[in-house]
Amino acid sequence: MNWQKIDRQQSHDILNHIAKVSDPHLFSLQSSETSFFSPPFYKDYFVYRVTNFATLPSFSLDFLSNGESYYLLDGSPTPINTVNKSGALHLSEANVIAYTEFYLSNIRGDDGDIYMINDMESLPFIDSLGADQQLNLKQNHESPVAKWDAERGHYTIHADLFYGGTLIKSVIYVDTYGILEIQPREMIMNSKIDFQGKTA
Amino acid sequence: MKNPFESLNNLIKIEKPPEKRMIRHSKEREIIDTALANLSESALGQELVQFITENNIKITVLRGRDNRDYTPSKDSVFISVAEDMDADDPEITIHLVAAIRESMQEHDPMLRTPSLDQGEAIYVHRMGQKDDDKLIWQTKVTYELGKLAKKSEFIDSFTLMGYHSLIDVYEKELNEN
Repeated sequence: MNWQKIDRQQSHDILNHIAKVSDPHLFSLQSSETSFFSPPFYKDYFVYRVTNFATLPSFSLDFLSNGESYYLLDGSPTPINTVNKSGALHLSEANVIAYTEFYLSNIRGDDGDIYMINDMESLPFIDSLGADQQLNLKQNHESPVAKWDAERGHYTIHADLFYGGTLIKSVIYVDTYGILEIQPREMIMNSKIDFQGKTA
Repeated sequence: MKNPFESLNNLIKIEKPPEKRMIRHSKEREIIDTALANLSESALGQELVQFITENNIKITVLRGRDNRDYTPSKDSVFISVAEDMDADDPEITIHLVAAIRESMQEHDPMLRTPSLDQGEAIYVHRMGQKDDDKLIWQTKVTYELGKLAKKSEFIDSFTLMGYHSLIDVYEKELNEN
């Protein structure tokens, strides 16, 4: 994602908007900043990231917004599904992989975060793997591929996913409303990866 | 092969209206009341409750992707709680301990966040001290709730957070003294 800083006045407008519905201390004007990126699959909607650097670690919240409505990306599918239903979603074979990566990175399942493995080197847990696990992963990994299935009316993506401590070759169906359904194909690694991403 | 994504697929298909509150948790009051009631069952927890009462500290519960505590100023504490989490989940109380303790630190000249003007080394050292101090308080309150108040679910939650060894160390210290 290509995050860009927004100008000071627009940032202040967003911070003031958040302050009104919560608390001015949450994102003070002095220690906070706002950045955004423009998802290729949305028309008129941007993702805004508001960060307060007053604490270590810093604290961020992400929103989907068209400048009027703000939907907090809270780990549930509801904000993304709501924006999709508004007609803002425009999927194509060229952007459906980016959309799916965005969707999966913003929801949490019962077993925690789910990652679509696009770029091996940018995986957040890659350094925690042993050398043999990294080699195994690199040898078996295939980059995601998306195709439009006109007969069934959905996109089909073949991708490697990391979920619940396991790497799984999977097929993801994405309908034109942006609803995903994931089916496993085969395990890339039989044993679970020892990865602790949770902190207090 | 059993589908490991079954519950995730079901979650995605659930149709829910968007939350009317922009960032605050829909069960904010219930979460705060439950967590404060839990704290009142621990001696150290009572100190935290007394502190927020005497100093008019405002507690806000945010909807969040990850559960965490966040204290950007000495007068306001925040905890972030996943929307589908039970309001009485012990992890919430444990995070609230850290959030309130951080507010207490800001009232203590020895633990207050220093200005960066004092130098990076001093800043980093103090922030490390503050983190250690919060974790010690979380350990002690979890021990008091889990072992003394017989609410073993607090020990289970602290274990899931990766800190069970701290309970063992603290218990050993208590027994030696």
